[in-house]
Amino acid sequence: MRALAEPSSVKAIMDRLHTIQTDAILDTTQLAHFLLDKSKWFSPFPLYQISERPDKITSALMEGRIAILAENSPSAIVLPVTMLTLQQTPDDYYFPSISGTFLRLIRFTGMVTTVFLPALYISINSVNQDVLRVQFMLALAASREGVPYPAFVEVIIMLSLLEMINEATVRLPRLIGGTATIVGGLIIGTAAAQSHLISNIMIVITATTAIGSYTIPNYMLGAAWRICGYFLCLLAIPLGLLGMSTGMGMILLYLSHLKSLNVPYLAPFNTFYFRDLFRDALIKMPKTWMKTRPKENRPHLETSVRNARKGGDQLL
Amino acid sequence: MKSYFKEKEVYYPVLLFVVMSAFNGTRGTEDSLVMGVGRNAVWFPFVGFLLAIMGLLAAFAISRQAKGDSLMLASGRIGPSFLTPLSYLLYTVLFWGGAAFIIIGGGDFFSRTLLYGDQSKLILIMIIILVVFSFLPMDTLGRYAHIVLLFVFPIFLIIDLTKIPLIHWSYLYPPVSFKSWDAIR
Repeated sequence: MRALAEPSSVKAIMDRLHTIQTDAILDTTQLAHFLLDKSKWFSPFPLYQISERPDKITSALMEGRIAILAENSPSAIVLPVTMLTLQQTPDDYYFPSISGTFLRLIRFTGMVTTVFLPALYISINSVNQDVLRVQFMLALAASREGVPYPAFVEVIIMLSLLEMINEATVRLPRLIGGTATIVGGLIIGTAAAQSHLISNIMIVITATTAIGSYTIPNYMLGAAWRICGYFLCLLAIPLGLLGMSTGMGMILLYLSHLKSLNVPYLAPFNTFYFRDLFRDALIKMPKTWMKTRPKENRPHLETSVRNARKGGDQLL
Repeated sequence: MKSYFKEKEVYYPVLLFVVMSAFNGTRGTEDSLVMGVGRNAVWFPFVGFLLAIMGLLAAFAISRQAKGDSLMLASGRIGPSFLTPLSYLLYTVLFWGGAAFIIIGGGDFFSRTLLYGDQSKLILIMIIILVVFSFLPMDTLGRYAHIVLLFVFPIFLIIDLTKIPLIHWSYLYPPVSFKSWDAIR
């Protein structure tokens, strides 16, 4: 086990843990904040993973990542993380590889929908009306007939409502949480559309965005992507599709800049570890094909075998 | 490739160069080439590409002989020491030209192929983006180029390839037009 994690990362975490001076740490989540670099304090994207599942933590340890436990807390912090590890669920590895890949792609589609769809609606309605076919634009215009304000006001109203419903569902007891969602989603949505406060197509877009955001397995990551969606909406209001492209470029640039314990946040997509890219990234190959551990966590280790056909001595 | 370069400042620009060439291979260049050279313009990108590859291989070879140092550092070590800052300056000019080229090419692509708006606005926005880029370390830009190459470039390529059915292949005949050589002279 000692050889699995990068020694310099372990030492960095130990050093950081020794320098913490605080009156109380109530949960491991609070501990995680102390482990981040100063430049990453305001990052909306989570640079650590919190989990209570033993299988998830064991898997992370076997991949060369580091887990931290604290007293009086049921969950562990896992470092370093990448965007990809936060998008994965244990089911990906328990299901057959094709089903696992399918579910993984569905989640990525959901993420893309959450980020882009509201901004795309604003762009197509307000700035780039000439991009789509005339028939589609006529249907869109007919749906918005009677709505007294521009598309971006509609989007802001509906997304704010969605955020409130989300928050209410999380905070309310589970018994009445579902009822609140139904009241919020169905009754308010239908009434708003009938009174021409919003268009029917906006309800479709809001519902699709909400469903897309629920497919993101990590709540913190979902919140970060929703913030990115708002950022794209802001840029789409004056610049349309160009604003969206620019905004996405900026987000990608920021993500390329992010690192979690010296591991690039978008690894293995922007590292040169092609084996990892085609074994366990967007596509998940059968476990027998994943013969080596991910290289991003131990870049200086030449090979690290995790599935050897014969002989236990080859492990590590 | 890793064994050739010790300096990541050189390692990543190679990746950036590949991405920029890939983006601009089909955009912006053809109009200016056709206007300047005439019918033989169709062959010029291949010649340019071959020259670029040869330059890249020469840089690799020199770096390998200089035990991992870049062309710039090696030139100062082998020749007079002022060659190192001079070659870094030339490198800057090269990337400056590359930046101008990608701004024009990108502006052309967005305004004419994707019909996103007028080119002057696009060029202005891209200049602002490039300024933001210049504040970030080379690692970040390299990683960004990597992501763009994987996820964005295929979209550009597909859009460009949709024009293939519109090509009049017969216009390539005769393969070399001797009349057009006069334009170069």
